[in-house]
Amino acid sequence: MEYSIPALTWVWLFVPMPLVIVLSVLTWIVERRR
Amino acid sequence: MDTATLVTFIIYLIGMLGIGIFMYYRTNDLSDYVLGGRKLRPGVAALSAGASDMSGWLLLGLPGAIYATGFGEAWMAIGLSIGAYLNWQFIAKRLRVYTEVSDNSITVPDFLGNRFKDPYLLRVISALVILLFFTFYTSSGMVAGAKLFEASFGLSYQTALWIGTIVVVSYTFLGGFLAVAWTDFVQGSLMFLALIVVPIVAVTEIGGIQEAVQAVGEIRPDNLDMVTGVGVMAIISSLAWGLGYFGQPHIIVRFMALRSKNDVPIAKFIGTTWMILGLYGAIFTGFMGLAFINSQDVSILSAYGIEVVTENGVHMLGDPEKIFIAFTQILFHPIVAGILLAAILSAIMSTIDSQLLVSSSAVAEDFYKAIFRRNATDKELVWVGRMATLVIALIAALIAMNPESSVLELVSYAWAGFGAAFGPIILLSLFWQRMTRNGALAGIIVGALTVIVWGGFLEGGLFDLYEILPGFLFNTIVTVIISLMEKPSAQIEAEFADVLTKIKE
Repeated sequence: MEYSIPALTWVWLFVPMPLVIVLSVLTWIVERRR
Repeated sequence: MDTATLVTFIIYLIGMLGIGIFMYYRTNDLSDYVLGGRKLRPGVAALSAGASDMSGWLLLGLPGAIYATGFGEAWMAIGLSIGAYLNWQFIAKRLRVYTEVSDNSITVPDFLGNRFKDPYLLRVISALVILLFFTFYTSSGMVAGAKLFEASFGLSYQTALWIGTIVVVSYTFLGGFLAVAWTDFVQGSLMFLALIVVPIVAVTEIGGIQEAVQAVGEIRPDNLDMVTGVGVMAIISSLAWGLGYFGQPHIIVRFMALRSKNDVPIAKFIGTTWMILGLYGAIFTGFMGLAFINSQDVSILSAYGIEVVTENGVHMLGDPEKIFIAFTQILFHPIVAGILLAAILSAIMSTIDSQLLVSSSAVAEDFYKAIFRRNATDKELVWVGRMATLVIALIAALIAMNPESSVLELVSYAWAGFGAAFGPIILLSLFWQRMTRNGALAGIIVGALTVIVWGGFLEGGLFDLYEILPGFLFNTIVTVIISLMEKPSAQIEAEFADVLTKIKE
């Protein structure tokens, strides 16, 4: 049997945390422009 | 223990002491000793906050939990990442500005006292809570450090405890905040390096990510699933850990120590990235561990002194929390293994030193200076801080001499306790002009009591929810209600307006 990581686990594992990094970059850029 | 590993490890410890001695000559007054004279660079502040926060959990607890039960344990990492980001986003800049405007407050109790113009009650109660919980927190860190020393070097627990204590206390005693922040920076860098290198080498050894997924699936298919089988209550409780950040004195004091409010955005980016990549490293170290250990010959594992149990034909570590240590021993050259081992101790030491310093700051600034000696000289206060460091560390070490001591169970309430007691107070005090001193006082008491009662005496159903959530909520409600029943003084309102102006400058 071939195993893989379930789709929902992929989403929860690889979306919220990288999104937080993206947010920190975006807010950094916005605050620098100010 | 290989000699090369031991030598690398000793060099690390001497390096930490060297930083302490160097910073001794840069510490002139109490502001230097407890806050580094507010000259901390963003990179140092970011890594120092992260390293102080994470403790041994990042290299031992989290990989161990993922190794034992799989991705279902990763929810807490998400909660902590979001919480740490929000802490930088909403607390850092305002706290940096407010603490300077409000009589140059240098500790969290000092800030609360100055913010609400209450020189005694609010400040002393906050300082007492900090002193009590951080002494036990420090003690618990010492137990973890001594156990690591004991397992790695074959020293007796007591000898290991006192060696570790002497090193941490020496550099904290001498160099105060600057030594703690810079050692944290080095320690945070080591932890980061270790958490990136170990899973990469591990996945290469296993043959690739798909191979690791396949191997884990064959051993325990449930470990691949983060959602199925994990209850809603468990997910909410894990995510709720993130709420704790707003009230952790040893973390938010880094914001107060920043060189400038303008350093916050870059520090936020560095801190958030460091933490999230580190968490991924820890998660995948644990995940790869299941595939890796099972693929090894038991005799090879035993030769490294790794305790293995075999269940249904699957080789597992006797102690899942040792998965990171097992990787360092098996996969790396002894010199690199020494560095990686130092990274684990770094995680523990960086939390102990920060908590020790916050406690000694409370003694020097919030008891000695605020109550007994308002006119104390800078030199006198620095030495009171140093002596407090020594005495608190001694008490913590004496408690740690008995690692089974039930008093150490108090630590399990510390994160929730600080988060629920101080979190809403810090947030509201920075964002809500109408907040009053009585509101803050009532909120702290209700938040702390909720955590103790909910966590210690109630169980089943809704009461299985992590106590920080109701504690945070009840604290906020009580603080708002009591504050709305009275009005802050004109002086407090004027200072708040001044802070808003300075933030926009």
